[in-house]
Amino acid sequence: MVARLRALREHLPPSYVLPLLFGALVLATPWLVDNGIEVPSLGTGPALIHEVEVIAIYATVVVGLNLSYGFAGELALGQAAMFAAGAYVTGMLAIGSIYPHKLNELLITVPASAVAAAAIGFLSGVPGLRLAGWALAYTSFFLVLIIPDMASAFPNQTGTFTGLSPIPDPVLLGHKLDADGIFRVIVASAIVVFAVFRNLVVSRHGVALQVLRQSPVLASSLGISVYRTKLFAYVIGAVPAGIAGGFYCYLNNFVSPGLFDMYTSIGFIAASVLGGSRTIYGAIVGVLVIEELGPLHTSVFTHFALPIYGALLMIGGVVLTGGLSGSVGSLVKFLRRRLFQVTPARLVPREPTLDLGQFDGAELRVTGAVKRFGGLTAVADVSLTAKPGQVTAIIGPNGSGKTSFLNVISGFYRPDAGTVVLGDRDITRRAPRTVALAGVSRTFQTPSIPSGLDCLQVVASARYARDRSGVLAAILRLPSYRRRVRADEREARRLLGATGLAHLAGARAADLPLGTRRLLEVARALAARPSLLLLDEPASGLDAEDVRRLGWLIRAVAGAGATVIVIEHNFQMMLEVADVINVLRAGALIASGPPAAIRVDPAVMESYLGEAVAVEGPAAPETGEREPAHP
Amino acid sequence: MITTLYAALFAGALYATVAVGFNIVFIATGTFNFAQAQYAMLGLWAAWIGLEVLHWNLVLVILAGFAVGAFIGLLNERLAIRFLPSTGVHGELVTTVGFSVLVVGLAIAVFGDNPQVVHSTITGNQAISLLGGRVYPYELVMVVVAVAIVVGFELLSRRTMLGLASLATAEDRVAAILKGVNVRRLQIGAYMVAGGLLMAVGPFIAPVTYATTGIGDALNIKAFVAMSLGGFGSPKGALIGGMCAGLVEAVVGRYLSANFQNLALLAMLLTILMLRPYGLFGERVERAV
Repeated sequence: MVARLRALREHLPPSYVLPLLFGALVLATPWLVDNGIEVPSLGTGPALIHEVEVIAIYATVVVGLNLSYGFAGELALGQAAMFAAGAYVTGMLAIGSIYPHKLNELLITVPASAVAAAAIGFLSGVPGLRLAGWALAYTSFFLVLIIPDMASAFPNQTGTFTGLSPIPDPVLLGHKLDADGIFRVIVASAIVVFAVFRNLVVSRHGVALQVLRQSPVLASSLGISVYRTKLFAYVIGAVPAGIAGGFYCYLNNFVSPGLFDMYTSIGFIAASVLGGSRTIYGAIVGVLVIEELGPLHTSVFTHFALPIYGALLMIGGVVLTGGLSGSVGSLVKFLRRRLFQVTPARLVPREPTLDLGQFDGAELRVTGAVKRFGGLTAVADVSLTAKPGQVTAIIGPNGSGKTSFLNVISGFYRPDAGTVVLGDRDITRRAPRTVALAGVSRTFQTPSIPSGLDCLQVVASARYARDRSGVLAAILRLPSYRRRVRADEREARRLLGATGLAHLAGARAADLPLGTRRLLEVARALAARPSLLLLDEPASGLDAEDVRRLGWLIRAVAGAGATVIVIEHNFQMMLEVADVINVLRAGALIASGPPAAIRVDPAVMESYLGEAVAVEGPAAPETGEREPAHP
Repeated sequence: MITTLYAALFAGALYATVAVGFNIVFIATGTFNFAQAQYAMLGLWAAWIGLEVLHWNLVLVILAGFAVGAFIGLLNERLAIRFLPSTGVHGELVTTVGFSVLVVGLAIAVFGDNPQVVHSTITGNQAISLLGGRVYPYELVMVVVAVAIVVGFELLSRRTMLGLASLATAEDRVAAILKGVNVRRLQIGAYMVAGGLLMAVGPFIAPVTYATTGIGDALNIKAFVAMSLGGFGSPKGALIGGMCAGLVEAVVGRYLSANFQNLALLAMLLTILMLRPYGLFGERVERAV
């Protein structure tokens, strides 16, 4: 039964076929209308055509908003300003108020509108994204507030409060467009915008955005620039609003400041939230509901439009995190998982192949590292060296400064003194992203796995920053892009196999048990082909079997040439796995040496294991027989 | 010139007061409440109802304003904050925007679009000449009220257990819980106090601005400019930032054009975000893993 269903899935058409068919159907609306077709509540005849045009325009705006809000996680309130900029630029060019000659060619006006929206996005996004969150919300909100000011500041170009009218009908390649022509152009451009955004979201870049949304810390540890990626999403997300504004100008036949206010933006956001901000096609659903099927359609309710939007945003923000179409989507996913996918027993790792390839390990030399937090010295003058091909352990009780030290190496803390050198490169006080790109990969105490990605995507996400591919190449699915995706997949599959997770390639990564997620993090860290691998308490919370597998894996990584630093509580495991053990106490290094020496070091006994153990003699007897091999 | 300065002082006091409202919530919960400025809008209507319709005593109007504001603050916290999934990225962004829109929408439905005049009951309603400029006495009263609020807030947050507990919560919520701070109650309290405070000052603002439903969005953004200039979470920063914003606005309006007032403030906001994203008195916190 399951096998048959799985075979059936193989024969399903690709996911873009259905939306394309829908687009073609919408394009055919005038023909359908001529043949007497009517859609309930959307009307019939010219009214229906007009509604479809409006929905296509608004949905174009919302799909851009979804990229910056839903996928990059930054809420901007300025969509109305981008929309207005698009409408004004097209209006001014078409009427000829900004340039001595009328430029009413669609291939000039609409691209100019897109550029204007992107420019405004860039100018407000560069400062607004420094802090992101509220700062971006407010800078973009401010843009909407100054629309009337700008209109009255340039009366000759914008016509102030009365605005620009009438806008002449557009010309495409020298031919004046009739009503049908305008319809076709609007719907076709909406289809193109949706296709572009769909391809962008279902690509390496889309995965990078999801990583970013999950955690900026994770993104920068994978070498992904948080700031640039957010700016990219915000600027690209503004472009459809500009395009839509251009068409809106033609459709409306006039432009005035009164058409665009804060509550225009709120309407777009409400549509985005309602349709599901982390979707592409949800934009159509959201706009359809807001514009037509919702209570706003009845004029009696217009008075209460704002309270209803407000309530919608609150309910949407709290309950429908994925929106209406998101809810349907997760139901589908749930059923699919039930029918095709793994049972819990399969979620545990299997025997690893340990086929890791070679790593170009580099020696890490830390000298005199100091990190203070106010009066507390978390890392006090620590110097140590970690060699390629070796496992260097750092142990110590809670609060001894282990993780702080790791953060000093990986760039998340800026040390107050000391130097960190990797190979022949000084990485002291470098940003986490630079450190990552210099060849340092890490895992986290609490595994950081973006929700909504499968294991293959999680592992491949580490290759995004190392092996860059252009956005255009991804949107157009050029051969160079496809090559990179195949390389990503090949490498990710190999590392999943190496860590014993090959059978989980298609499983939702965030749902896996803790031990499996830890191994997955190691696989992801390795996918960046690091010269230095930092593991932050990889064994905590694992059962004995998982710890054993992890030990093998760590040895194998060092054996493949990488420099490995492990921070651990599990003294026993480190005695078996490490080549060199460094012991921290209150931020200072109190001992350093091979496991055999550390096990009997009196200072270590006293501080780390407690005096009782020191009295009883060296740790449990069986450890002596399982000494790790020293190179 | 001096008259312009007086206008700047009043505007600055207004922005600073709203910024303090933002700060109370920010310090105690680490979040921004986008709806905060709407309480000042509601305060104007409370002043109109209390002073012009019911002819109540000023003190009663202030107390009633505080009580209503606190109640709406409670609703604000319950509806927009309490049930947010804790893992959501800026979840409160969209929900507090929603609450703000809800409040404005209901206010328009109830009070309509027309402004209503509110007279001052503590001072005369005639402009006086002072140091070579014209000023309404109630404008100066508002400046005194704003300074008192800022000083009081500064003292409360640094010198009392409640203030310290709030600071601790903003710094590290989990650590504060472990130290026995009732974070939940603190959060509700902050929303109630911030809401009550901004509604209570309505009678001091309304004689200048009149009671109007449309003022909230502009106040919202200008108070945010004041906050980002002065630093998030800093009361004295709110006052200085508010005064700077008021001054820039008044000077540009007087000597350049009213069309460029907002643009100048936007330029100021963008500049400060580029140069000192944490404001003049804000502190940068190092990111922990």
